Order: sequence, then C-alpha cells, then structure tokens
Amino acid sequence: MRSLAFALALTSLTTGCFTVDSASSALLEPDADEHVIVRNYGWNLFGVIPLVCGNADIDSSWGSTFFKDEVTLEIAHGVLSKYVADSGREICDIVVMADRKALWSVQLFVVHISLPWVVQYKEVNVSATLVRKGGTR
Amino acid sequence: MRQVIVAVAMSALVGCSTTLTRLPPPRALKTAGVVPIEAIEVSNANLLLLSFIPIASGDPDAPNAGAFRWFTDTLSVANQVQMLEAEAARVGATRAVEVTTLKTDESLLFFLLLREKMHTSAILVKDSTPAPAPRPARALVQRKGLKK
Repeated sequence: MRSLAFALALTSLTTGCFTVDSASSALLEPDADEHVIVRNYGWNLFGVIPLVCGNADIDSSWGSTFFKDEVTLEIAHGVLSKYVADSGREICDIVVMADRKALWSVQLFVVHISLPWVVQYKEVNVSATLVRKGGTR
Repeated sequence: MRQVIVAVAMSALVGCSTTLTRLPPPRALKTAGVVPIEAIEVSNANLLLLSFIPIASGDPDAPNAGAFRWFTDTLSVANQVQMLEAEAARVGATRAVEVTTLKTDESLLFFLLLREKMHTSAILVKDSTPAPAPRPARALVQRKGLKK
C-alpha cells in the first residue's frame, strides 16, 4: 500500500503545467476587455537542476518538458506578450509573482514542517489586463 | 494510516469554498474619471487527487457560505470575474479596475492530495463623469418649397 501510494505520488511529480487562463467582462470596459493570468510550475533537484516543468510552447501537444527550466518570469511574460501582440492589444496592470517551496513538507494539523530541500517546487505567475491600443488607460 | 488520510481529507474539504472580502476603497486611483466604491478580494480553493482529479472546489455562486461542489474544478479566471460581477451589481459599480489574479497550490499527503487557491483583487468604481444630457429635440421648421 505504501509503495503504491509512493509510486502514485511520484507519478504526479513528473508533470508540470503551463496555463494561460483569461476571461472577458463588461466590468473591464470601456478600455480593457480581457483579464489574463499566465502560470507555470515545475520541480528542481537541490534548487538548481531542473527536473520537469510546464511546456511554455502552448501549441505543443506535450504538456510538460524535462530537464529544462521554463519557470521564469521572462518566459511567462514573453508568452503573454505574444498572446497580446497576436490580438493587437496592450498590457496593463501587470502583476508578477515567483515563488519556491520545499517539496517535502508535512502538515500536522496546524504545524507545518519543511524537510530538507532535496526536491524544490518552483512557480511563476503573471496577471494582467489587456486594453485596446489607444485606450485611455 | 487510513485515519490520517481521512482526517487530512476532511480538514482539507473545509477549506474548499469561495470567500469575498470587502475593504474600504483607496483614496487615490491610477484611473481618472471614476469614484472608488470598495476594494475587494475574492478567493476560491479546490482539492485535487494526484494533482489532476478534482475532488471538491468552492461554489462561485455562493461566496462566504462555506459552499462547495463535488468532483468539479471551479478554479478559473472566468469564475473569479463572475464573483466580481455579482459584487459590482450589488454595490452599483460600473467598472472594475486594477484587477489582479494569483494562483497558488500546496501539497497534502505527499501529492496524493493537492489544494489549489486562486485570489483575485480589484477596485470597484463608478464613473464620475455624468452621462451626457440628451440632445433637445429639434423643432420641425416648415420651409417654403420643401415637402412637409
């Protein structure tokens, strides 16, 4: 049972995920028309050796990429810029966040215990509002 | 082991709901020509098995009610914006400015269970420029030589 649980957990480790999620709303009008979030996460060994992360090529059929670090603000911002350029709009209200966490952390009710950083989780998050070119904002 | 899994799962389900926090509006805004009504933060959380099978997630139709939906993943920008729209309708706001969204996750039980959270903050405003007055109806003037 323990081996199965460990194997299943390890399987879920061998994935990363690069997502571009957006929504339009009349609330954002009259200048902006879409709110976008670009996110990627992955795993590193000892904080320096990339294991797996989301594939920044969103047109690719492979959702993950191995031994390559694509969890960077530059890449996330580059994907957002390409998404915006293709639609002829501009980026506004951009907020970025990058974080790293220890993989092995155990939560015992209210106590959170981090174990040594053998495997590290890394994520990057870019949020923006898209405006039409020539908008007042 | 079974009891630990059940206990962790039960405590994790408590956190799968949507919340909406209201704050006083800021005094200064980057956007001109609007009156701030309030600053809000909406959040949603879900619980995933093996990082991709949804077990439960918050109900975006009922924030602050502890409501959640089984075997559905409601974490999306569209649902966050839906909650913003509902609050804007409640307070009479016409626009949302400085909208930002962040998504984070945390592992429970060595990735057998994963909890994701999405937070969206915005400032709800109302346009301060009054709507233009309707143009007065022009009186019809009969001129010689023109048909009525």
